[in-house]
Amino acid sequence: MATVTMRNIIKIYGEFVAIKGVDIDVEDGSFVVLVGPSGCGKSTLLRMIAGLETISHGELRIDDKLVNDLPSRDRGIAMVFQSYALYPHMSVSDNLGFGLKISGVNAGEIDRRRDEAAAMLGLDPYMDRRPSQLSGGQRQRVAIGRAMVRDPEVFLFDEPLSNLDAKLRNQTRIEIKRLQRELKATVIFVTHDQVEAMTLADKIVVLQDGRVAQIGSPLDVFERPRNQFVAGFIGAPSMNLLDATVGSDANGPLIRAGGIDVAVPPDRFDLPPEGTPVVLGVRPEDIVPEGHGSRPTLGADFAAKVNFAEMLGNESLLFAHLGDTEIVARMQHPRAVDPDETLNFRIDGSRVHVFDKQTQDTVLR
Amino acid sequence: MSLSKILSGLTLTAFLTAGSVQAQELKLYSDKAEWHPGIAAVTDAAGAAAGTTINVQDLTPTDKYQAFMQTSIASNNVPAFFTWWNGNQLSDLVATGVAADLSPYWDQAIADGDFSAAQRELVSVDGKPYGVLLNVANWVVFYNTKAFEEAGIAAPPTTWDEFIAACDKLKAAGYTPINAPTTGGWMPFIWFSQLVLGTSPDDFVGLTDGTVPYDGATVQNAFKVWGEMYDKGYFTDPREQDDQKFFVDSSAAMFLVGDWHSGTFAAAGMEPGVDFKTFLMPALSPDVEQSVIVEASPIVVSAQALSANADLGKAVQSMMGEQASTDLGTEIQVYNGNLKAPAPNATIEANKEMVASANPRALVRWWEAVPSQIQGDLVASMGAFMFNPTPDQAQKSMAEMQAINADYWANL
Amino acid sequence: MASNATQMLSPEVMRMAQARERSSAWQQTRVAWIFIAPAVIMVTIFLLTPVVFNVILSFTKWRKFTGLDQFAGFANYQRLFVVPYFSEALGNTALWVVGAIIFPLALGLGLALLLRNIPFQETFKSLYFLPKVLAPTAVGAIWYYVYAPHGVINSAVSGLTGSEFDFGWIFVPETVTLSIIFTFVWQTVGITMVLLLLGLAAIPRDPLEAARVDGASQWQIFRHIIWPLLMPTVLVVTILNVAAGFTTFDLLWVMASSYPGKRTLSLAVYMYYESFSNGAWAYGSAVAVVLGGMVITVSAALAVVQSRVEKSIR
Repeated sequence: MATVTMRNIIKIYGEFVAIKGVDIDVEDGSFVVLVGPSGCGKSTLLRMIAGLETISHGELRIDDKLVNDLPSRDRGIAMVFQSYALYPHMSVSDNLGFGLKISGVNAGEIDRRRDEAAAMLGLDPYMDRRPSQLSGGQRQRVAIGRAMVRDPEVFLFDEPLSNLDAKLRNQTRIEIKRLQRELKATVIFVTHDQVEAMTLADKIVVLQDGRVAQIGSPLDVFERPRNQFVAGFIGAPSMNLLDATVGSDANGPLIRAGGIDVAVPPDRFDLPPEGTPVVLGVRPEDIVPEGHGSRPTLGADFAAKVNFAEMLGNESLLFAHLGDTEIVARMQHPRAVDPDETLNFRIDGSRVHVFDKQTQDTVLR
Repeated sequence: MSLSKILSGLTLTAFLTAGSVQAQELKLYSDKAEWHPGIAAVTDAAGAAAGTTINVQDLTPTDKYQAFMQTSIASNNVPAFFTWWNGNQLSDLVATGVAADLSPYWDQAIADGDFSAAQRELVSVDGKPYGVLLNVANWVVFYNTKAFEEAGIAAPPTTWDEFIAACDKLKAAGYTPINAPTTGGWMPFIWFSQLVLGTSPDDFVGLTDGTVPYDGATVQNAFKVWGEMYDKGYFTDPREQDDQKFFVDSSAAMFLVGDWHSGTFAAAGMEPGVDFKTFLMPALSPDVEQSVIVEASPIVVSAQALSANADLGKAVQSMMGEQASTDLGTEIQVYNGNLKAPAPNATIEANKEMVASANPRALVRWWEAVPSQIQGDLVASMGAFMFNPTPDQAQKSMAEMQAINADYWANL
Repeated sequence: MASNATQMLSPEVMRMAQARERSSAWQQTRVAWIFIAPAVIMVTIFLLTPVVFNVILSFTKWRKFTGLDQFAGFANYQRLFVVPYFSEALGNTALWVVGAIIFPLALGLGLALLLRNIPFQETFKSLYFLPKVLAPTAVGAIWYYVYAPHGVINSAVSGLTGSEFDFGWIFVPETVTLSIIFTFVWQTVGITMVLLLLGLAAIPRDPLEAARVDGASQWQIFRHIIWPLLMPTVLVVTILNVAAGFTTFDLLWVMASSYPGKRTLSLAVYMYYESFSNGAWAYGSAVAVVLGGMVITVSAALAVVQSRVEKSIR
């Protein structure tokens, strides 16, 4: 297995700059997820690593070897495509063996590696079928198997789960993670789904508009989003963002938003001077309806009319207004909520985020 | 219903696009679209004489026209009038019984002095005439008067030796002596048949009725002379597609062809009797009788149409009259041989006098005389020799032709 | 099924449901027949009837004006093997078929692969396609002057070598067929290329990229991925060109009008020559029947292969 190092990677299409200078380090045997909304450049970056797109500027190293100008086949990578990209005219068996066959591996070795992959992925019963005779999940496994048999330095996955139904997606996600652990593989995985990113990654790279917004462990990215974009992108439903100003009272600093004062721990932020406009970020689970979960010690109470309740079974999402902003709160152990019912909520002041109004960067200490 | 009736019905749906013969509107079918104005003038007058209208329907090229006529006749659907060929082509047609016997009209025309009994023979099968003459052409050698002058040829040749001498002088003067095209694939027979004719007129006739083989002594001689003439560079490039190009651009000095061609030379800017004149092609030796090829195109009348409408006889009479001949001459410079009418141009007039004074043996053209089923195959072998005029090819062509000829007469 | 239905529904409901389904099925097929009928009638009158007529003719003695009502048995077919011309024409037709498969395909594929990724490809496509919209007789007339003794090719050679060159490309047996096949290729390569471009465009990009990542070189990608996936299109093109190769007539008739061996340049020419020039209608029909049989057999075989290949890659 190998490391992948990207230094100031840039990709341009004519006048358009798609990737604007990216630095990422992928450690040996780690699972790195590139995540971001569509158009952020994550797939382009992956295709540049695969050698399917040229690198306009910067350095791409695999195991310290500069590979910018190497063709795909010499980079030691394998890729799993969103569409699976199986060879439609070949049997499963031939799909798995194609890469080895053209690189001149002997037949015995091909069979050995193919059988191994097929056994790991449960593909044995399908070896003589053509891709058109397989279900979506089976195709996906063939695509993964095709990557595995080549025993690559780095696995690249380009949104491999997005064509699967929800149940299969969860299963395959777990399977991919298990395989990666077993193979101790270096994986770079592209997705727009932050749940996939959170569950799979050792390290998440959040991309925004061709730039790295934040790199970190899943927990790190979730707990300490570096800016408003990451805060909004990671976590479902999204973090509530409210216009606010900095204030204080006898007990310490507070953030004033939507007509309430949210007390915050004095040592959590580097707050600007009082009166400065900021943005307050509160995750839905940190707005606690009265009687549903423990009452946060530090925080602020408010009452609001519930416009709409989305019941998910194990919890409900409540939509209400705080000041002029629509917010969403998470209700643990839910009960039926009537439309227009007014509830009391408490914001957990110890867990809120504050962002600079201008730079949108966090002021978290 | 018999098989032939079913097939006739099918022929109509599958093959015919033109309408069938109607009682009121009569048609004359022709493949000679370039002669349309002359033929139309003749049919207008003929229609008027019979109290009806006769329209000319052109159908080209010739192979398509023949195919149309064959399918029409095979399905018993014959136009009232149509142009045809004499010789074997005419006897094949007469055998079907669709052509009207025109004896009474020819008797009348001969009595009136319009035509001669000899001319009647041109369109007769077994002594009975089956056509009105549309064109009577003598096959003569056209020559470029200026070229002859430049080459120092005082008078047109009257013997083979003089002819060869003239060729040599023309060659020396920078001319190709003879224009010999292969256009359309049929023209290769011209020099083949002329050289056979010049060797033996009887064998020329024998070739066309199966009594003389295509690899016998006469044909061997004809090919030998033909090859020698090619060796000496007497002939133009056979690959040229415009049959009269080398003659009208004055690069070739002579052109052996029917004298109806005088009209097209005139159209190309050469004045008949001034820029070009004609002479009779001499035989290969003085012992051999002087002969001339006479090409005669008849208009055939449907026996069915004539018996259904007695007035059509008046139309036939009109077509054989002096005015019809004059119309043809004026409109298209074609001469149908009417003795009272003037020749359309100086060349045809001169040829008429030349033939009258030399009194050569008149023979039907090889093309019409030979069975039409094998004419194409035979002429292909002649053409092959023109493209490759070697003794080997001569032997090959003769062997091929004799095989075709023998096969035809054996399986008749 | 029946047991399943009787368990579920009472006989009466079942009967009503089936009647309803049948009547709506008839409604739909009736409309279909109304739309198909004109085509069926046209094909019957203008295609099938002449074919049947032609087959009947080939068993008669029709020559020129007579023999249409005389039965000849297989005499016309026996004659095919007696005269040398049929086998000559067959040999030339075989050359045509092979030439019509290989050359347009090879050139068309080369052009298609080349044009796939270059600017102005629409312009080039139109240019290459242009000859196809010309009538074959017009193409023949143009190319006659290309090959003429003092035509384009010979003039060019004369100019380059400085000495008079007047080779008779379409007048000597050694070059006439190949020269005219070349003209055919010139006319056909455009449509072949356009069809192949459509075929190439229908190949998904992902398997090609997958093959690149899998380590395949450009040639290996073509050989193992593009070519097999293009095979259905290749076979369609082949069927079209084979049929054209078998039945080629206009070009030959126009370009070789003075070539003495014209009659055996292809079976279609031989058929036309025997029927129209020689008046041997019955015999010409026999040639047509044999030619038609060959075209149908080969095309049908290719069509079967094509549908198998098509199925195997979908």
